[in-house]
Amino acid sequence: MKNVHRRRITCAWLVVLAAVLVGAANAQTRTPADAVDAFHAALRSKDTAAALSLLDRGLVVFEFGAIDPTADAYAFAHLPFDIDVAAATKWQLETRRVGGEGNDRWVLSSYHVTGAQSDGTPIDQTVLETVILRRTGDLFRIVHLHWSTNDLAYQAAAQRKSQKMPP
Amino acid sequence: MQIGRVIAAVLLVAVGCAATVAGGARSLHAPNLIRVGHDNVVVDPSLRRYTGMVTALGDPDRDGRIYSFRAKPIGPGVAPPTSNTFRGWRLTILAGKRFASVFEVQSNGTSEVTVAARDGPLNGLAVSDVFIIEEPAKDAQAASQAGG
Repeated sequence: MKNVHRRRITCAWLVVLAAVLVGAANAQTRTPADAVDAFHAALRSKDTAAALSLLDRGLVVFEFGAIDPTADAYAFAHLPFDIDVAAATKWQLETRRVGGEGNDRWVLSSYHVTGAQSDGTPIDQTVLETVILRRTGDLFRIVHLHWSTNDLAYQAAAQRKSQKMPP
Repeated sequence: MQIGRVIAAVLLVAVGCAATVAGGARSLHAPNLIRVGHDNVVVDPSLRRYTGMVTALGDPDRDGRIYSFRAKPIGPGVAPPTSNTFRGWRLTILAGKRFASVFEVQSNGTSEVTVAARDGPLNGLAVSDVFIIEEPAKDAQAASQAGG
């Protein structure tokens, strides 16, 4: 009889623990700003699947003058590189504004990005980020990302390079 | 008669608006716009990677579960791997129904990949789906080992 009682108590504790863990996981992307931060954290930790899980399948990315028109295109063409950049740099959040209502929200952030390229050339610039998010279920997912920088030479070089690419 | 004209005008405007919206959507998908981003920044790869495209699915087991597929490399500088280079590496699906699904590579040949059963089967994967195989991050491994 005592064993049955103990098992019931153990089961109850396991249920409570599971509920707490699920709640903690959901809390990570409960707000739009949390989802944006979780995306950057996934890039930093080189967690491709975690980064993808925060993207809506309707994602469109504008990145320094270029376009990734789908989540698949971004995942293949740029996500690995963004992971490499995140690993080589430090993104210090400087400003943030959050808005929107209902299931559609936006998060505007600026970051001071520092680090070094492979040849040691320093990276020191402000990156501006616009993120639009849509709530599906309890989670906000990113439907649009737009990055630009205050480094005019950097931006121009990226755009020149994109224009030189064959159609 | 006048009502007919009004309806015709409304329909004309609606068709025009739809065409404009469709045109806008097309412009986002124009292939000549799909190019590089901040690729002019040169940083070292943080992980060893392989990107590929599924060319055929492996045979299902008795329960219909598929754990292997054939593939070809895609992307600049990506070459066919040598056997079992990717054993223990992380495979993430980048397109299709299994988008964002993760598997551990159990073994690989030059054009075939088999995943470990513990992450579940690959069912839902389709020919032409794109995937990435990445070396496990060393810091993640260290954290995993420290945690137990």
